[in-house]
Amino acid sequence: MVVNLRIAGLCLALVLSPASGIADLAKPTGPVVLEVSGSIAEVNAGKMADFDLDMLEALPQHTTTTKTPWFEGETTFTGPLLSDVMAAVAGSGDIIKVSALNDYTAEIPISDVKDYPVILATRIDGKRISVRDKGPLFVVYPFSEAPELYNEVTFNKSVWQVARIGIE
Amino acid sequence: MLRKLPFRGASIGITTLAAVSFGILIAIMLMFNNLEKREKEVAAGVREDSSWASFSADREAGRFIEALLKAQESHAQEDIDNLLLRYDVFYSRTSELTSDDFSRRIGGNLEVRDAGLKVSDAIVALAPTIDEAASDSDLLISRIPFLLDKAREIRTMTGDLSLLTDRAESDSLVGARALVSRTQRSIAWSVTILTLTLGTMVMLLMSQIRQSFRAQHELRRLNEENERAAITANAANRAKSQFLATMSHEIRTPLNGIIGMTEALALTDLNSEQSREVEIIRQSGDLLLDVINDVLEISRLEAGTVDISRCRFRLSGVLQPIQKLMASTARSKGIDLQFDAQTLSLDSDPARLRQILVNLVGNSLKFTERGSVRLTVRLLTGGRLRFEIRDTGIGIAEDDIPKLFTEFTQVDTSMTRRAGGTGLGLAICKRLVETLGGQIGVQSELGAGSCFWFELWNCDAKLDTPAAPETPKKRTVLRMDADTRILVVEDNRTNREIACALLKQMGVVPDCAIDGKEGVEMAMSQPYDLIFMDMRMPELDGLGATATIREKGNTTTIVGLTANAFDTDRDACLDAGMNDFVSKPVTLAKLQQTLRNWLPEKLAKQSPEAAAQVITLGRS
Repeated sequence: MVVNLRIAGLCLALVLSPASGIADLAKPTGPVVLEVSGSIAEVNAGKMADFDLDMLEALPQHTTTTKTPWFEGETTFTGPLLSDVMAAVAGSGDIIKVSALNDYTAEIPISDVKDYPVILATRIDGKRISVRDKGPLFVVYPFSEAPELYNEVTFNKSVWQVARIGIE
Repeated sequence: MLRKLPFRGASIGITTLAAVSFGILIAIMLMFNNLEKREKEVAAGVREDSSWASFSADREAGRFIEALLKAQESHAQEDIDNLLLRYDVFYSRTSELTSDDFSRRIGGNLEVRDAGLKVSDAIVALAPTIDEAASDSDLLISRIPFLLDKAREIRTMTGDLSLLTDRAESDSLVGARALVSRTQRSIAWSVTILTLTLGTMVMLLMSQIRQSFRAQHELRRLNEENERAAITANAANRAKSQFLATMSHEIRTPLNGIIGMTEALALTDLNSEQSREVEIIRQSGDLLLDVINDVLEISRLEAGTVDISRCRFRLSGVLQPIQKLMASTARSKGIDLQFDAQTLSLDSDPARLRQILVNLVGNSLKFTERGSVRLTVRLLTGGRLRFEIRDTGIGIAEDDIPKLFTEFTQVDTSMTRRAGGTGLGLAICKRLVETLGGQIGVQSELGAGSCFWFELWNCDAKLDTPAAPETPKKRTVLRMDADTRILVVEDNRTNREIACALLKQMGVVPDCAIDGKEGVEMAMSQPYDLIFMDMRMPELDGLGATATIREKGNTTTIVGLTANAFDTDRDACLDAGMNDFVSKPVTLAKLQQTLRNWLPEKLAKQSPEAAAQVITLGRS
């Protein structure tokens, strides 16, 4: 049910974005934390779409509380769904390439974001995340909700210190 | 017994081995389970690579140094910002190096843990220096040489850490692999032992099966041996029976002569003294016949074929001849023989009753030297008739009483030798009493005498009015028409003459044939009303002669004369085509009965009273 609603949401976003988004994708006012490139329709910096934290937090927010291998106990992550970020840039493709500040790159298949509420967390336990604490952006899979994801393959796709996204 | 011991040993061995196998199997299953669990841990384990953490820290150290050098050279704000970012990223690696998992993942190596902590501390220690100058570029630039020194120190440390982690991880991997291979070796050994155990079990089982097969074979062999022994024994028993039958036939043939001729003699004109003596001869003959019959009887009793013919008769009719018979013996020994019986009639087999009483009274007389032998007969309640024979003889020891009624057992062999006898008497009595429906027993005291008793149940005994004072008995003889034609086929001259003498008494003059062959010729040459045919004859026996006559279409009534006491012989008569049979010895009564049955139209036409010739048999 939840998944279906989400897919419906994604479709709606993809349909609506081109009509309303071209003029709407604002320019970042704060420090740029995310550069989105690749096959995207919405841009604000050349061929790329730059985001600051405020822009990301302006998107619909989602919260996932789950256990992870990187933090003790349950941690609450908050941020936009990766699919909403895709919609915001009117991206189309099969793979989302997520790169970190240390140049670590992982490929997330589009089916992941369709099947699960994968978020690009901007806050942990309500607070923004510093680079020293693996911030500012953190790809979070809903491990508690979908235990089958709790394995190395997904851990490798759970990129932290996210700096760039490429859509192919 | 000896053969059983290895059996038990093998059984215990098999049980033990089965238990051991079971144990080994459980152990193997546990080991497999362990292996599987380990594998699952590896496959689904929550592991971030420790080497990766060390390597990343080392790489970030390198990039930090690079950023420091670039900022020192250019002093550009962009490079200074990059320097700050690189430090932050560098810093972010510390959490991995200090986490519990970092060292635990590689087998809890303390050296690695300490090295990780040292690197982390060194990185964190730079934070105040950088944070103070974060917003002051000049200050930061002035601190770059110091930071470079520190960063290079850290770089050395992270390099060492990388090597250390790598080595530890390899060790851990090798250890894990060794554990797995150790477990695998254990499993291999266990499987080997299990195989050996099972092999031993199979061998033990096979030897057990072989043993049991051998035992079965032995058993079968013993069985066959027993069977052969049984066949031999049966053959011996049959030979005994055959011998008895032959002997009885050989003895009975001359005896028949005595009895028959006596009977014929009794029908002639005799004075009373002669009649009495003839009667005693006849009764002695009967008694002798009884002895022979005793021997035959036990054979028949052994075979379980006793024929009882019941009829209603007066008890005195049985008792008086016995008393008369025994009187002379008693008199000669000086023993007082008394018969004390109520006058009554009963429904039973008189011949059998006589047999029992002669046996018991004779027995008592035999074992009594002086005093008395007394027979009493009393009707008890419930229609039971009780006979008691009480003597003042030697008596019987209590221990010997159970042996009394067993075949071929005599209590005192020295006494027996003196007294004689077959030793069958009491055994026959017991069987007969039980066959007639009753019970036999004895009370006795050694030296004081014995009391043999038996009771007959269901004999419907009734008290009679006393018989009229003894009058001479009359015997009526049947008369036949003078033209009655009878043929007697008999090879034995005595028997032939007896038959002729008795038939002449009835007014018939029979023709005689001396063997089967002549019998057939005569039967075919002229018509007869009836043929008496002996069974055993030379040339052609009775059965063969009868069969020949029947084959030629002759339907004359043929009555067999058989000395054979066995029922099978009688069946053979009828099978051969005879109409009836008469058992030897041939008596007047038997002949009359046969003629009355088969030639009723040849009976003399006069009224029975007028026709009957009254013969007075003398009685004293």
